[in-house]
Amino acid sequence: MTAGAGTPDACAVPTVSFRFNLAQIEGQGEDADPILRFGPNLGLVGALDGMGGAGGTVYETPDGPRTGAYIASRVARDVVEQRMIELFEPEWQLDGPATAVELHRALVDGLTARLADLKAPPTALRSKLVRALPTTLALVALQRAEPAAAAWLAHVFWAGDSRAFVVEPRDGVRQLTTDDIRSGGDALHNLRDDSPMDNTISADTEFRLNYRQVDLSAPYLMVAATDGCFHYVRSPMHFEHLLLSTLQDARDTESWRIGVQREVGVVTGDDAALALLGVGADFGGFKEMFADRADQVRRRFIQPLDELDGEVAHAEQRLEQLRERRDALLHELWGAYKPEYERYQTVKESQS
Amino acid sequence: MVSQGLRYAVDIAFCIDVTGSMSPILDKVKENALRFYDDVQRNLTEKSKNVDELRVRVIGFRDFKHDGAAAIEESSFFSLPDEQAAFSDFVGGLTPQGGGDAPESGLEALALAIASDWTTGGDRRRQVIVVWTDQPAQPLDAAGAPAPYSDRVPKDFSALTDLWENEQGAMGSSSKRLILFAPDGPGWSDISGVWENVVHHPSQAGQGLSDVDYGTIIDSIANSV
Repeated sequence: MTAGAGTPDACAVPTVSFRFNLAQIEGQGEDADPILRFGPNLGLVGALDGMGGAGGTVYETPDGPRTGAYIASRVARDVVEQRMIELFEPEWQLDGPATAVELHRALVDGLTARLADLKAPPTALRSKLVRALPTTLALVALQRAEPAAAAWLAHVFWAGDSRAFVVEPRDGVRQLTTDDIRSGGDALHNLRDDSPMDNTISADTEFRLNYRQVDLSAPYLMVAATDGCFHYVRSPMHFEHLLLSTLQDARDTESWRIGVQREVGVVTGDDAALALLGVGADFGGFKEMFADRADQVRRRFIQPLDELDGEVAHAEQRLEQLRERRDALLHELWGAYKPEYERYQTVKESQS
Repeated sequence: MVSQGLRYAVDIAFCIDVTGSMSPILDKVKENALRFYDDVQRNLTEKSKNVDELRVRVIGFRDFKHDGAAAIEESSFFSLPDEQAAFSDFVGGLTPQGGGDAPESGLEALALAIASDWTTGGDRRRQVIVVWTDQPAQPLDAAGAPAPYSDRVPKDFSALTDLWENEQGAMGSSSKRLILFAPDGPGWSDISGVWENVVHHPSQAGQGLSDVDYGTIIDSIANSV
């Protein structure tokens, strides 16, 4: 597998790819650079988000002070990527459940060893909130089911609330992972309720690595993203609109990446990392085959909300104007009423 | 695409032990209270999370058994920075006195804090209670609490736990945090061992808190919003 450019040699191979890692504070982003590797019959797409709330402990490293969250996502990325390169062979169907067990073991070993190296500062804190080297993971290993066929297997591994999505020309975005959060899985509800996670990778607590296998048919887009990409849009439909509208506005893959990164940067309040791999078409092909879906999402889901937003804003403006008029009228009428009301208060008080 | 511009609202309730035994360290605790909200806000701002609404309130507590209704000195929420002076004045006016022997009415103060008039504004909220005390907590006894507090104090520790864990309660199920600067012992150790969303620094009101642990606490509040 290679990182970066692919070879468009057949109808169903990975041909379009990009990734970005957007840090709120330059050099201190707690998301790792996303995983993006592919060959003619394989693909690996992953995102990892070091958890700043749980992993705020600062460690001294040769590169300077780093939070546990910063270190965790990068260690986990390196461990997972290396292990998958070793396990993933085009000629062999990946044993997903066994791979999940193996990745779990590798993550425990890797993070435990790194924590020992870090010589963690002593802490007096007691809390279920604070973890050593906590991170999320959403990883998809793509494997063509048969040579030269459009059928693919997606092996999905995850822990925490980073997500993997498949985007298909007819049906749009579908979430492949299920968020490990306490309040349940409704994606719209989760946008407003920052529910604590109930399962995350870390060096000092038990965790599980979830696994799911999904059958796919090319062409499709595979996306892995940290919550900074999808957790700050208004709705899951807006996330799809972000992906597809920027595709329609782009002239090539690089300008699509710039567009997605720009729009995520506008809305996000967090570090944001995303990797995208397109299988089964080139950039022009994807742009054309997603045109109808992009238009449908805009007309059916985005426009009605935008229009209502406009009405709400107009009503709020009108309400504010009415309140101002009411207050002005109140003072004007009081001014007319007041002289008679206070007539006897102007009579000099007598001393008793 | 229009900017989402999420609005963040942060409420903090400080429960401060103002019994006589706090005399040597109360000034430092007050200083920490004034600094604490500032550090949370700075942390949020550094991550480009714009805090639209930041409010703090203070509950000074002593011991109902020794001090009666004078055991509680509580303020409403102050909106910051507009009411900074009033907040500082209230904190400055807290004086260490009374309390008798340990333990103190810390759990009662915590119950009052949980029942605060938390904001419902903002797209995302963080509701934080911070407790500073140098003593273990008196077992809860609503019947022993003087008016007007008898109706506001849970009957026992289980009822207080229900108040904290209640997902439909005044505090958001996922947005609340409890920071304890309190010694190991009855009340406080029970809380840090059982309750969710708690960070406990076992100490005499935060004495000996390292910069690393302080940073971890601030991150546990601000980075997860």
